[in-house]
Amino acid sequence: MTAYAIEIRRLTKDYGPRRVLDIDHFAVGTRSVCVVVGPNGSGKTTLLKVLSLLEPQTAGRVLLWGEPVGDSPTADRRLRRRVVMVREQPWMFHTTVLGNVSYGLTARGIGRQEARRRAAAALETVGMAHAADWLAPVLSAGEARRTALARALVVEPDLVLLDEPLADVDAQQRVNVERIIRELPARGTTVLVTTHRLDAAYRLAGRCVSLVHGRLHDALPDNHFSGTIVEAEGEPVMPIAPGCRLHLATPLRGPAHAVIDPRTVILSRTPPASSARNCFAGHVAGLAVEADRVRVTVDVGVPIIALITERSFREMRLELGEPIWVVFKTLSLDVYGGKPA
Amino acid sequence: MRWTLEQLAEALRLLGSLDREVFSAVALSLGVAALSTVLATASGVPLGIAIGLGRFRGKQILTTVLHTLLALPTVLIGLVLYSVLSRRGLLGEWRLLYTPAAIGMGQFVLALPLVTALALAAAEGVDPRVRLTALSLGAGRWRMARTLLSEGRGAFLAAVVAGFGRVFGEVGISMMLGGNIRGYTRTVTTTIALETAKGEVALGIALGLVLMTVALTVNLLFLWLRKKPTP
Amino acid sequence: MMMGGLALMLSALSCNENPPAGSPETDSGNRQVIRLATTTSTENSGLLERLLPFFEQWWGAPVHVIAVGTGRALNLGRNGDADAVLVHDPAAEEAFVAEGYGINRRLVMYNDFLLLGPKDDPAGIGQASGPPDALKRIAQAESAFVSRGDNSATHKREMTLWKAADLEPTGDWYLEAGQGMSATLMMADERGAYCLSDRGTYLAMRGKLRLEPLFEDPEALENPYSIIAVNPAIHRDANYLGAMALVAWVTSPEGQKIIGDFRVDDAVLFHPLAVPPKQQGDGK
Repeated sequence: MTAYAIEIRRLTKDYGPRRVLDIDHFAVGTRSVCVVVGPNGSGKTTLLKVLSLLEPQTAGRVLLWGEPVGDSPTADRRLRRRVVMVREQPWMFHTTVLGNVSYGLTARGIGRQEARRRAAAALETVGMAHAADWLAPVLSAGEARRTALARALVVEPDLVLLDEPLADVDAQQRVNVERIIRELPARGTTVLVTTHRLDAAYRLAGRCVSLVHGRLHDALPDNHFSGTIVEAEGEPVMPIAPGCRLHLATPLRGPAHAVIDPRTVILSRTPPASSARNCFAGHVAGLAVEADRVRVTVDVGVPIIALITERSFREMRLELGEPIWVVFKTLSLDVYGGKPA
Repeated sequence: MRWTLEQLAEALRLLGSLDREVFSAVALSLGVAALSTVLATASGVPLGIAIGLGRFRGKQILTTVLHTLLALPTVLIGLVLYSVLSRRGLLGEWRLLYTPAAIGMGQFVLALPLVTALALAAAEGVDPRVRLTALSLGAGRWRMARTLLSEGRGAFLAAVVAGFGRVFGEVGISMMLGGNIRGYTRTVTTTIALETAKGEVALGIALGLVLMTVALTVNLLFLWLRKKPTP
Repeated sequence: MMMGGLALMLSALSCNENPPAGSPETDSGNRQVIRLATTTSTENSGLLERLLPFFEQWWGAPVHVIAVGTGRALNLGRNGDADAVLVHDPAAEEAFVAEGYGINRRLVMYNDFLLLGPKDDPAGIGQASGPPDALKRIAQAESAFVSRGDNSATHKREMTLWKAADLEPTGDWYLEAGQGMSATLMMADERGAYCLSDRGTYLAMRGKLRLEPLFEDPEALENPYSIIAVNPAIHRDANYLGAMALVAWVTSPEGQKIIGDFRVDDAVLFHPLAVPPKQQGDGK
């Protein structure tokens, strides 16, 4: 049929005078994971609502598997059955956890016995099997999120839209949830995830886009390095440029990605004497003022972005072309991909 | 003050000696109120949900009319239905006037706007996320309605309880359409009205206490229903 | 459709609620209910409660008594919502029959009206020469007076008396209750006011009232009751036979004796008219 599960053309969505979404073109291939990264208020949730047919677009075309959304109620009903959205704060029905997870199945006409069986299995995968008989409204935020995930996945939708699926989920379960998400394409499901955390975005693999003020950028976020983690002197390093190796703290090896938040990158005029193992010499290649911060692009062989306050910038009196050192700790780097040694 | 207390004491004493007629009146009041409430619920709740969730022109006006109907005096309902049910009236053929059936019809008319208006409010009061979540999980219209009822069950139950309370304690309709016929259409409330007019204050109070006790029992039943977990 | 279902269900309910009563619909074996419209004062006196069970047993069908004001009772007859009427307003009754709605009007019994008032009789009606004089005294003294004010037989009688006294009662002292006899008496009692009442209701309520009968005139204030059957020519499905049986029975020696024997606190309430006691062999 069509290679794209989602295709958006010149989509705008307004709430009154406010334009919340303004996307020229966006497509997501079938059986893939796409992560939409963006700060709160950037329109991520609205995008998901439009894609799950819960909100109509103001203008533009949205195509799901090649079929346009909003043309006829019957077509919409049919499409809606193939899409499930899990909200950031999912609503739990006033019944047991098992009852909640069975909801989508019984709504689709599956018999109660069978529905409960499948629901129990789904709860098992998200680690909530022990809570099957609990009354859902008393769940903690993280538990509710996992339950909502199970509730959505148990109906085996063709497209799953997850709004901040990892927030409030404890570290132990986070690994589990991320694994579940990564394995979905193999089962034939297309996944669209929103998050405001860069590190989570990368760990989920697949494709990343960023949504800022309703506009979509295909560009990857800053300071994203792809390479191979090797061992040098018993320590993991990733070469990113001639003479430039990232020191990492990770048990993973092989092809991987590393990311560092520009806000944790420190700039220094003199070679730093600190515990940080990542120090690189370069020169200021770009300066851009953004509100009360300044983006400094430093060329160390590859560009590294640092974000500093306007005040620091003034005090340092940075100039283009100036030599400068870039410093950050191994622990500031997030690594994903790769395999344990 | 003294007289009031005397009457109250006499009323309590009379409770012990209440006769068959009183039980028959209670049974009648309860039976007719229950039936009319059930029917008002069966029609009013779906109607209220439909209007509450609907988005159509004139919804505001319809809601306002509905709320206005809540002010219908029981005697007016009785009067209008009397002219309909009278032998000379539109439905005279049915021979329903001065039968319990006529009281039931009147009480149905009384309870319907109340149950509908409250069900409407209940439907609108259900968290909008319920609807979106149910929709997103593939719920069709019927499943959606069931889910709304379940999620908002407190408010919907309150609508039914209000409807019952309204008709159980009314006297205008019972009097006009029932005729207060001894042994046949004499309800607790019409008996109270009659006895009070005859100056039998203590008996009137006693009957009032009986009425409220029955109402309390019914509401305890509602409470039990509310606490039951969903299937 | 909803109403139909409701009606059906409640008809069934009607059957269950009253074991002795048969279904309102009749077949030849089961006698149909007789609907008797009467006044509240008649019902409140307690006479019908005593009298009708004997008839019901004899005839084999229940009598449903609907007690409303006289005017309303006659209207029920006109509309066909009653099979017979028992009222005490001769002028209205004559009109009812003349208009063709009622037939076979029979005088059943009589009692009289009384003027009740506070014990101390501030208007001094105890010395009045006749009913109009009594009212004149009340008006002159501007003593509180509670009227039925509801166009009932009692009320119409009262208005006739005011007219005879050449007076139109208005003023703060004249209160119109707009209710039945018992309720009106209660109101008059509360306010210590004068009131015109039929003897029957007064006797039934004597224990609860502080008012006392201050002026009586059994001849001038005579209050005759008649029973009339509703004309089947106008309302074909009225229970004509039942109504006629009722008319016959209440005016029969048996019925009349029961009426005459009816006592409340050892006082006679009603005097039989159709078969007066003198002809029964054991005088009053």
